[in-house]
Amino acid sequence: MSKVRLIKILQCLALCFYCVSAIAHPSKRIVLISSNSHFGLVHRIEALLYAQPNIEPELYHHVVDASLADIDPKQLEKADLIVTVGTQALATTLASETTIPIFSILIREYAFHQMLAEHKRFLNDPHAPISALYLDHSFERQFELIKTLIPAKQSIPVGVLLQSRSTPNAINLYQNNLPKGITLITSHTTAHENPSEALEMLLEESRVLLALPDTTIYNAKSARGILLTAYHKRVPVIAYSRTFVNNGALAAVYSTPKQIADQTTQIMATILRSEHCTLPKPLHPEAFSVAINYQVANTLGLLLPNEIQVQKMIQEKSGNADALSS
Amino acid sequence: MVNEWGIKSRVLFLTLVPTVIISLLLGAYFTSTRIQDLERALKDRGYAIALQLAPASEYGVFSGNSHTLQRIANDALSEPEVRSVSIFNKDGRLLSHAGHEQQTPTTILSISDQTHGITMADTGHSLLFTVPVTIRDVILEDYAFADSTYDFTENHENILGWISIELGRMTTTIRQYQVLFACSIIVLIGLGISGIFAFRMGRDVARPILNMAYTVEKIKNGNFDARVYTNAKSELRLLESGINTMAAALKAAHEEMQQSVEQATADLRQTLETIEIQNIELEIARKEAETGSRIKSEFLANMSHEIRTPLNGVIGFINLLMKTKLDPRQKDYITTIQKSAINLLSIINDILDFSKIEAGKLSLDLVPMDLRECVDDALTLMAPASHDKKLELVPMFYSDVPEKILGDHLRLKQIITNLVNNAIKFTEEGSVIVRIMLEKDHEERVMICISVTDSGIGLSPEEQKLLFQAFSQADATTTRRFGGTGLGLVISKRLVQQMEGDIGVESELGKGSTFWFTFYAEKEKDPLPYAFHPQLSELKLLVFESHPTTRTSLTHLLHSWNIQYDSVNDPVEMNAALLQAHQNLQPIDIVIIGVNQLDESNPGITALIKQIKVQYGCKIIVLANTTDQAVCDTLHDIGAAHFLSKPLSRKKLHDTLTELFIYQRDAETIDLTEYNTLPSPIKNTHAPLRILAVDDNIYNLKLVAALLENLRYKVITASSGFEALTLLQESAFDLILMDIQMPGMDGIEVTRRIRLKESPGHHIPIIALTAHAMASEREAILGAGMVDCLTKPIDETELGRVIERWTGQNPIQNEAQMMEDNEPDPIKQPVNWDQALRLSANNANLAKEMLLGLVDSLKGAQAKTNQSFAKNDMNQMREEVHRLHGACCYCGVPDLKASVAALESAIVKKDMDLTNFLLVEMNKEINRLQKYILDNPFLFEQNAEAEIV
Repeated sequence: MSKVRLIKILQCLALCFYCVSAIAHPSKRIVLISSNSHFGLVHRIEALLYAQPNIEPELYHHVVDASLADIDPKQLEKADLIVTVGTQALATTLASETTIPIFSILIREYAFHQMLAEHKRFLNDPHAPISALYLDHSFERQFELIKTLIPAKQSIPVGVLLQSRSTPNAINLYQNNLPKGITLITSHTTAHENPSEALEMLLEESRVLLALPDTTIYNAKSARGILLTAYHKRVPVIAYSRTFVNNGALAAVYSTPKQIADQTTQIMATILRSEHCTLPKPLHPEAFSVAINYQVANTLGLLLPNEIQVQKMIQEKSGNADALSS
Repeated sequence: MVNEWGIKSRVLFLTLVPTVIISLLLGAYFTSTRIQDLERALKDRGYAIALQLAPASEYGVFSGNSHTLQRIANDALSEPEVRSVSIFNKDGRLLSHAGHEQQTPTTILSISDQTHGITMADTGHSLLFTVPVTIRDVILEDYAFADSTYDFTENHENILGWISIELGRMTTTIRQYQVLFACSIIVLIGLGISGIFAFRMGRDVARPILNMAYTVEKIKNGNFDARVYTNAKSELRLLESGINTMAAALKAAHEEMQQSVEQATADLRQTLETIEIQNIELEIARKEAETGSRIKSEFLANMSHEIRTPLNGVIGFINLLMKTKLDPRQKDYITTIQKSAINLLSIINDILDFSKIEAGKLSLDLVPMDLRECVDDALTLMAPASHDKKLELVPMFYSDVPEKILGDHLRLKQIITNLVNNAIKFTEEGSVIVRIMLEKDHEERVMICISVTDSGIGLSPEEQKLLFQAFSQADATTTRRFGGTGLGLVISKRLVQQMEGDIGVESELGKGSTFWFTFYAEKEKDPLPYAFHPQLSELKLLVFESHPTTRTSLTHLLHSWNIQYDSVNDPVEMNAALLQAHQNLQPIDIVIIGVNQLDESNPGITALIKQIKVQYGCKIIVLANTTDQAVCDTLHDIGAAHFLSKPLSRKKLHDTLTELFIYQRDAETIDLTEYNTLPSPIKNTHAPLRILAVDDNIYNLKLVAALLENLRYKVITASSGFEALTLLQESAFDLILMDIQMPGMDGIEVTRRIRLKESPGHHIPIIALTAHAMASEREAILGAGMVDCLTKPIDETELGRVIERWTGQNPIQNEAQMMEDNEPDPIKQPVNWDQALRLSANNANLAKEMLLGLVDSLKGAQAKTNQSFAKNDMNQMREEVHRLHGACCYCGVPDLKASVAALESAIVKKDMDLTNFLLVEMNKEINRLQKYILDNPFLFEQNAEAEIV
């Protein structure tokens, strides 16, 4: 209750600040479009945003389903920035063919690029600027996690199962310089075949299986089989979400909603403060958490430190102390 | 059936049946439940194994890792029921198999879908579980809808493959049998135990009860000391003590009753002795009474005999006296005495008959008789009485009535006489009509009804009720007015009843009465029809009779003889008829004039006769209601050819018509007188017969002697049987007249002694003289060896007839008698030439030839008949007699024929005594005939034909 009251007080304060700043600076209109599931995240963004100094955004939050028909067109036309939360919100917004700058959060990298391709949008389009804060963490951070968890004197062969749609990821993967101690092994499969055969072959050579967030490979139906197959081969799976870890993966780096909201608010403040609401380039989350399934680790005979320690170890390795503090 | 069971059986039944039912039901229920449980357990196990195997196989199926799958399958086989495990991928390819070779089941009894997509198929021997291997969904993303748009799932269905597990039923079935067996054993043990208990319980109840029943049976059989000792408890103990108490009470009561019985027996014995004494006394009294009754009966019989004997004497001598010369006054007195005597005799006869009927000693004859002759005789007897009262007495004999019957003609005549006598007695004017009708016609018997209708005073219904009762007449005053004992109808009724008939009266006061009676009679076999002269059909007759019934009766007779006749009922019509016949040149041959009385009341008759005689030359027969000879003479003088008295007898009319029309027509060739008296040469060929008359009554003896002497026979008298035997030893006799009732030796005994000394076939004819008229007595008389029987009072004519019959010699009439009798009866000879001629169609030569043929065959037939009788071969005898009977029928030997017929009848009836007697009779008749033929050889010479014809 006190939190709600606090929020209300903050809202009042923000309103007062907005009124004052509006008089000083012309206020920017921001439309937040989300699906029904992300209220908490949106509220946090709003609250943090109003808490930002010198920003007096005019925030409008809309919950949408399939189209933007319910949103007042005038309101949308006058918007300076559209922030979409989740894949569905972005898809709906793109479908409206608006040219207002769009900043998408809570979206997988491969999904974002897939949609851009579908709606013939470009990242650096000056007429219709668009950017995103990915939900995926960078390969470096994931390799760090692997290295942290799997102590090895030699290079760790990390197996990655790829599919045709995973190409952007693979490109990213290949484009990144692999850190030391990591050997990348990839195997391709198609959307129409059981990945077990490719997986079997991949696992034969891999020490760790790195799961990429590609639903054609790792989805609700296949994940269990892949996990079982991997563990049958006693190969730990490094996942991309806490839920995946809970369901059988060994460990993952992930972002909590708070971390995402904070980073989103920062980015939005930056955008709003810019003169023309210039969007940054798409970027990976800065703050992260580590999730470990100790039962799996135990089964696989791995003795792992606790999650905080791992997180610190990664941060230390990557030198990102800010993220840890936040 | 259960109701007949004993207690033990019932207890067993009532205990065991529910136990058995409950045990069986429970056993069945638990067994089936257990079996079902086992079945269900098998299924559950299969289900569980399938459920376990499915997730276990997820990886193997997902990855196609056969090794892993094989291991899983092999592990599953360690379960006892699992026979085989097969794992397929989702395309149906076999990934792994363990256990025996699984083949596609050929018979699947049932398939059922379980939860989790498991399918269970029952092949009978095993259960086949097919379970899908699925992979469960796993949520990978932390944020909802983060990647929902690109959640492609088309190539990743849940079902990875299939596992087929076969569970054998063998183990389960063995367990089921074990359960069944165990359950059966338990039920049987339970039943056995309950049966033992029930048996013991039944025995515990039944044994004391049987013990009690046995004791009660002993008590029932008189053993009151018997007691029940059982160790029964509760109610049975009460019953036991009750029975013992009852036995004690019964014993006490029995002893008390015994004492009472002894006391009562003593009293009873005393009473019985008293009754015995009384019985003896009563028996003595009864015997005395019977003796008294017998003595009375004998007295009555003797009395009647004693009364009849002098009365016979009186009547006999009156008859003799009337033949002497008497002055008119004397004749009047004598006539009165005669009538009184005859009345007295009639009364005595009635009383005798009644007493015999009452004593049940009346028996009827069954001999061949001619019913018409019987009726005619009876009416002839009653004619004088009807003549006196100027009544028309008419017999109406219906054509369908058989004339020849077997019956008792004397008794029939008695009944008819009685009824006609009553009718005449109670009728002052008019007619008495006797109708003889056929009531029923059976094969061998007929029922004949005879009615007597009068136009008399009639009877009121009350009077009718009194009729047929002894000693009663319709009116108390009637007795005085009309006389009579009142026994006639009663006797008639009894006689009719004995003839299986009935008697009754229909009457109305003042309008006359009809008395009728019926009787059964046997038909005579093969009766000869009444032979009338065939030439009578040429006759033309005119009948004048004013009385319609008499006219009908007369014309009926004429019609039956095919005579052409015309009938008129007044003189005018008669004249007209005669005139017309005369004019038509078809003259009338004979005129019959019927009148009631020929006295002053009918003056026209004399003139009428004269006129007819003169004018038309017809022969005239006068029928009149009189027997007065003077009238007859008068009519003869006038010109009447013949006179007949009413009622008209068929025979008399036939003979008269034959004589007048046929014989007189052929007068030049026929001497009727000679014919009728043939054979005349025998008249003087014999010396007077020697006749022995035996009677203890001197007056009777004297009367018989007088009568016989009157008939010109030589008479020797004997007053006792002994005397008669003595006389027989001394000299020979042609005939014996024997009284039956004689002191010392009766007539039957005398006859027996006479017969003992005779040789068969050559014995003296002995004729009984008896006052007893009963048929049984007649049989006894004939059985003793006598040949005939004469009933007292002896009638002179009857005496003559009988003597003639048995000696073949006619009595020589005295002059006075000859004078009276204008038309003497033809002498009874063995040969009746008239009949012989009739039977041979008036061919004298043929008649003689047939007679000689018969005589020639007689000796052989006689010998054979006697031989067969001696051999006791009745069939042979019957054949011989029947043959002889047939031969006799066409030869005019009536006596021989009658004796042969009687003998045949006796043989048929198997009456040996009668057969014996009748055989003797037949022998005598044969001897008689042979003797006649020997005595008259000239009859059979060639030139004797004219004499015979």
